[in-house]
Amino acid sequence: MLDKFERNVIITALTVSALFIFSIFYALGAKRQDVTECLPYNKTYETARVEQIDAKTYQIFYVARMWNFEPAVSYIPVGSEVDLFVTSLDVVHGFNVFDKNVNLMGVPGGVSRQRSVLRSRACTRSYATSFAARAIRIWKPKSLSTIPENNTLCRLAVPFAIYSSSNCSCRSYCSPLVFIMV
Amino acid sequence: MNGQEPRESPDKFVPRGAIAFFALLIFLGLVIWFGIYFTMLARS
Repeated sequence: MLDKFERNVIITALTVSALFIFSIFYALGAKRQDVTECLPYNKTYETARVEQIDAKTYQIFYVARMWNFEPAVSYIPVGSEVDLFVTSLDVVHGFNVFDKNVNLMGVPGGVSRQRSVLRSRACTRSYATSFAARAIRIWKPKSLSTIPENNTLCRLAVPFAIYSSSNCSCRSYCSPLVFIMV
Repeated sequence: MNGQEPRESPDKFVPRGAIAFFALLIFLGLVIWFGIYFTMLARS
């Protein structure tokens, strides 16, 4: 016979565990949370491009290599659903979009995919990490007060540069990746 | 001590400290879990 305190503790623990598990499935189902998916590798993923599926659905195929991510700039309408694909041509690169649940790894010979909805007309900050020789390096340029609209300068002058759209200013993290909401 | 048995009866013992600790543990677990949970939902 269980002690009543022991029984209550077991019931409470099971209830809380069930609540946790239910909340995960609720997020996956009702809230349509997407998780990172690894796709079978294909040579076509080595071509960086933006593809429009329909008016509000886009696919962006990122190709990472040292000092560079392409496409560096993507023009995406506000509220679009975007499939992000990342692969790498050299080492493993990290791919993160600031303030979004997008955190991918660009692995040579592998493809990571994640879906995201870009709702706000705000600067999207992102940063890149490079994994090599057990080191994780987050590239932070020291001064990025002003970067002109010509994003080519960003790519050339600062390896992973923050680019800002016209109503935002450059901030802390470097970024090879820019979503410009149009 | 000194050869005397404890006077408190085991039947009336209520583990108040353990209950309070457990309640606090559950509360903190819920706060941490759902704090991160709703942050992640807001970023979706």
